[in-house]
Amino acid sequence: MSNIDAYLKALCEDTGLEIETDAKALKKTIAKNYSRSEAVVPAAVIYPVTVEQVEAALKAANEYEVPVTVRSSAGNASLTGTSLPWKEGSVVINLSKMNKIMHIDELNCMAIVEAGVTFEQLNKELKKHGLYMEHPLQAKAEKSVIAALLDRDPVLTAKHLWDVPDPLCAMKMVFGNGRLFGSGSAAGPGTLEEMLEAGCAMNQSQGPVWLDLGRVMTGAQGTLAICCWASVKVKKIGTCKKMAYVQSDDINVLGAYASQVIRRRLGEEAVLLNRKGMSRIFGLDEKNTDEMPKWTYITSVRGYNYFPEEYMENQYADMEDLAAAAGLTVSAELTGLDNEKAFAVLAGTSKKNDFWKLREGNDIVDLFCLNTLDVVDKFSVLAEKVVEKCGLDPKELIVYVQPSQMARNCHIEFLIEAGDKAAETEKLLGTVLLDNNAFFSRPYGVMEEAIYNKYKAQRHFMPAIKAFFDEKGILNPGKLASGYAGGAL
Amino acid sequence: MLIPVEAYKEIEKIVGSENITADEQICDTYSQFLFHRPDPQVWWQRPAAIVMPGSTEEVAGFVKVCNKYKIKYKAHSTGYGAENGATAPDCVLVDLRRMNHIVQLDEKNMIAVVEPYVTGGEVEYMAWQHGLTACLTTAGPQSSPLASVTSHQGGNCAGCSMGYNGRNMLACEWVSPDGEIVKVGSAEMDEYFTADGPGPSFKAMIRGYFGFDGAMGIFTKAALKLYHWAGMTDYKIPNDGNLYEADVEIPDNIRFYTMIHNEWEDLEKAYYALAETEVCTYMNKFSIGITGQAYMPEFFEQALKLPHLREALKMARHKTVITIVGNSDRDLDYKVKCVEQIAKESNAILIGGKVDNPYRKAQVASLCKYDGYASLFNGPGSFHVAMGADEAIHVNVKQAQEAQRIKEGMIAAGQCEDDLGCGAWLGIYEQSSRGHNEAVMLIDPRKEYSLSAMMTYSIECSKVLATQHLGGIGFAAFGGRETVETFDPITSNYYEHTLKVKGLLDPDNLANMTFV
Ligand SMILES: Cc1cc2nc3c(=O)[nH]c(=O)nc-3n(C[C@H](O)[C@H](O)[C@H](O)COP(=O)(O)OP(=O)(O)OC[C@H]3O[C@@H](n4cnc5c(N)ncnc54)[C@H](O)[C@@H]3O)c2cc1C
Repeated sequence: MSNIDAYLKALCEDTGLEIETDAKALKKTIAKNYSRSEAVVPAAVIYPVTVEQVEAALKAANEYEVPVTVRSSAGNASLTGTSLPWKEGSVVINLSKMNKIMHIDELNCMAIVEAGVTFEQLNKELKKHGLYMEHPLQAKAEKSVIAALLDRDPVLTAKHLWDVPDPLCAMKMVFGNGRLFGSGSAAGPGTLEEMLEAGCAMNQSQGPVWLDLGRVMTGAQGTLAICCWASVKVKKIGTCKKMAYVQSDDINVLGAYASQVIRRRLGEEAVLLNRKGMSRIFGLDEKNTDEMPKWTYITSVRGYNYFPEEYMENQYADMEDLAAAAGLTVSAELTGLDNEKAFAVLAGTSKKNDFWKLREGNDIVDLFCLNTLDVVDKFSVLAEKVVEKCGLDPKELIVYVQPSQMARNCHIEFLIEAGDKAAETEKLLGTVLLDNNAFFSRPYGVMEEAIYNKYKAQRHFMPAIKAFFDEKGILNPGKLASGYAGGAL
Repeated sequence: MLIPVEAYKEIEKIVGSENITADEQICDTYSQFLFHRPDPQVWWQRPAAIVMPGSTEEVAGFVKVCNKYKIKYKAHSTGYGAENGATAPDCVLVDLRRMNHIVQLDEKNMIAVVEPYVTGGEVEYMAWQHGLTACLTTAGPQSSPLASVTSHQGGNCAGCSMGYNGRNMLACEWVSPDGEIVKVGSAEMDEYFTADGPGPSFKAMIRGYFGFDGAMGIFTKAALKLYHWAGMTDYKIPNDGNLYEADVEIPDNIRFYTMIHNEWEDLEKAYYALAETEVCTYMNKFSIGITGQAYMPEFFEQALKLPHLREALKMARHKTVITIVGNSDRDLDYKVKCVEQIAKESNAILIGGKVDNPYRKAQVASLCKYDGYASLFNGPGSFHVAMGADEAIHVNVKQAQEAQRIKEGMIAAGQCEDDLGCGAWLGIYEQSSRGHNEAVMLIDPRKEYSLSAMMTYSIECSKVLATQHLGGIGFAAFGGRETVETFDPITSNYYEHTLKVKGLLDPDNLANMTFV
């Protein structure tokens, strides 16, 4: 009997897990690979529904040395390829059936969700409680909340992003080596039920004591541990709302303005987009975007329980004063864009099967890095030059800037439909950005090796990180491989 | 000498003969006072030698020598807390006072990069001039923000608007336990805006919730998050900081309040509302007992003996000190209205506001000088902290109530100093439902009973924490070995995992662990 058969047999006998081994069904699981990373058909897909089953699946994987790839989101699409197996004979642990919203806490503004809970599902439920989740820009409806946040996908409200891994907090996880662990509040003492009974919000992400292992596993692309459930911070919807738009041709001026606004805690969700980004995300007519300044800062203001209207108007007026000082103007409307729609876009997820990054099929270039607002100008100019050099129209380039951690840094994303030039464009753009100190904090695909060649310190310690969680290298082999290969400093 | 002569010579070559000594009298000055433990040997060992490196390269060279000769060492930045003390007689103390530069203050991105011996006061003063502020702990302006963000806890009175310092570090430069110079996160390209990646967060292996207290190599530069500040940009305290006589300018957009609650339930309600409205720049509950003992010990001791006065003092046990700073006139108006409304709804007595009285000036001076519990270390005073981790405000309030009940029992039995029972140092963090509670007990280290009370209090509080499920371990960690034994099996084997992390990065435990 092969390892995999023995593994599946043991799992079946011990846990009664649902296991998929039908060849046709397995083939389907990798059918929507939108990345340029290779993927192989898994030997089996298993569907745990309890933490104990995940634990058993990983313990057995260690025993039988079976490689495991984990997937939390519903469906079979993968933009980055990290949730698709790369090594022959892999098993996919699919958590999409662990999809209970375990707890919603209105007093403490917290939700506890299993790994398979999607953005659409959570927001729908939260709404009934007067709450919502600050998610990534037009988050994919069927994307797992936990998977996105574990990947450090930036959420829209920089002022609430105090530190990584906000808004993710406590996590119940199983290490690659099969050990069960609670990070932050999830460590206990006590079971989750006992802690909730005592009034705990599970809102502590760090700990116990010296540890912060939940944060360690962020950005790890499923190579260290499997998170089974986690708590996430959520926000009150509020009683009134208003949109605010500020535009400029100069991203340096607008970026500096955004920083001043956010550091004073003005506004809620806030993004910076170029023209193409405005038309793609907000569905604006090209005719409208052609006429407007190159960059738009979009934010919303809300009022809550205490003097809501006054709070909201104050926020807006303070933004106006800051704008005036910077030679900018705040508008409550934007030509061609209905405010209700704008608000829904900011506060909502994408519609099912209609994700903004994927509209063009599998020939997109999507590169993102984490830097500061003051380099957006330089990077955008470089990106435009690169796409032009690759024979593409720079006007088609989407630039999305997401201020993060109170605007101390920002996610800068470049996306373009590139057809058969996609691979070449991605490589060149990635290289140019890397050479100009773009910090690819989430390395994917073709850029991975070059990134780890540059960031030697991180690479030097990655074997130790791996050894701590997954000494046998069971989880997602092949992913972040150039990092885990280690190397001298 | 407790370290090999050859090792001493090699270190001397690296740092220069004037920057190393094994002189016993000098080494004795680095022996620490009691803090959180009655058994002095935990921190009160005379170090084998003192080394004062002047650069990251010298630190790295020194650590390499330690590895070669298997010498224990411990980093010491400003050295205020006892945790920096030598944990064994053959431990070398690394006094980092020569590394005292503010490397960078990046106004645009709200980041300050500092070396170990830069003091909080220095950063704050520079930050204020740029409309920014640093998050300093109540240890005072003389202590090292680098030590705080990289290595030791991080509770503070600004937590509501500036968070916990364990979450206030961006990138850093670090000398690993094997003596390599490591730039963590974006520091590798000499920019300090993020600590995490590429890929997993290595930063979180070396700085968790409490910090490794010098047991994880030596941090040589750290990027502090700065926050927006619309308060004073400069200050002068003509009489050099005497709080009672301070004569400082009070900016028009700052208000100081004391909000006094009689009932815990009311206080809790107020805290949730203060979090929701995001009005406070500073806020924290101080207890009358701790304040009284710290600032007017003779009066307080006498007052407690008078039954009526004792009861009267208890009425003000739960006092929350609040500072609000208006970013604009309308912002100030809104914040004032909220504070007043919240006080009304929660049956509080609200003192302060714009009233021009000397007390207000003392509060401004206190802000400038960050004088808080520091005063407790006048003479032989000391304090101890027990209880759990940050959790929901509601749970932190419960922790405080339980700790009060335990201490009241001990006071009645004459087992500890009388501070009226409640020692809760309680606040909200990150303008959210996250609370922070430190159950403080005053200690007189001259008295045997006071020292053993410290451990009894810790152990009793830990029991409550474990059986009533009031959040994570947190300050129960000060219970030492006993805590590990109680909590490790019921808290995800955190200690076993910690030793594994430590073993991977510092297999010989040369950067010596303190608490256990
Ligand atoms: C009266 C009093 C009040 C306090 N209040 C608070 C408070 O409100 N909140 C709080 O968080 N803390 C508090 N502390 C503890 C501590 O003093 C503070 O955290 C302070 O910010 C750190 O400065 P320090 O001078 O104590 O640092 P140090 O004593 O120099 O260092 C503290 C710890 O960090 C380690 N360390 C220092 N520098 C380095 C380095 N470069 N590399 C590696 N490890 C290093 C040391 O070995 C030691 O274990 C208090 C202490 C006292 C005595």
